[in-house]
Amino acid sequence: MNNLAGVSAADLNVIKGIHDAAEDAEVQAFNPAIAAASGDAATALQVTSPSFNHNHINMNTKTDTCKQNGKIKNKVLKLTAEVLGIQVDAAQGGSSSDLAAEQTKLAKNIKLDTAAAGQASTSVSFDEST
Amino acid sequence: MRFSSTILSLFLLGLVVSSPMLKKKAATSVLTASTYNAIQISSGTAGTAEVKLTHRDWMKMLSLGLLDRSERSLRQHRHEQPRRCLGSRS
Repeated sequence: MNNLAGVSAADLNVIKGIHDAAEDAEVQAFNPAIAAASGDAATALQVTSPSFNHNHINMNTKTDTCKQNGKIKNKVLKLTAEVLGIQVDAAQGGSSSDLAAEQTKLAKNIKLDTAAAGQASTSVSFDEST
Repeated sequence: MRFSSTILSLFLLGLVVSSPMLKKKAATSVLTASTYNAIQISSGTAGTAEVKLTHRDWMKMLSLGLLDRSERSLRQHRHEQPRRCLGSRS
């Protein structure tokens, strides 16, 4: 996009709204679902380093892995909107101090998602209006 | 990566510009859960997040009326740039 400075305030609000909705889904839906997992499954689900190999999870954790994969994809959505929002803000004279950090997070989660390519990924129920 | 980000930006902004419903929501700075469900990318398989956000599930978005006004540009996008969108990782 070559004209980020021309993005309207209303449109910027939508971009930020996408981030907020994705974050709400993460906090209010994905995290509780993943937290409901127990024992080794719960431990495994907390591992989110780029070197983590989802294939190491046994069959008993398959469903939880799906949710974790879904959470990572949701993070990609959230951070994509976040980065774009910051870029628009910066183009309009605002601060871009968080841009590099958010881009790093986005790249990390894209890498995680790519590392689990082909595995099932599930969304979670999120029916609360924001 | 730069190109990919550009396409992503175009998509998100296209979504914004083309959606009267989203614009209406934006007036109060909220998106409803149903809107989130329409834009969520978590279902399916892992490894598709970046591609979905650059190429999106266009037909799904169309069926939900979120890209109604951009149908013409969507058709143009799909016919003229599909390979560039899908192969834009770097």
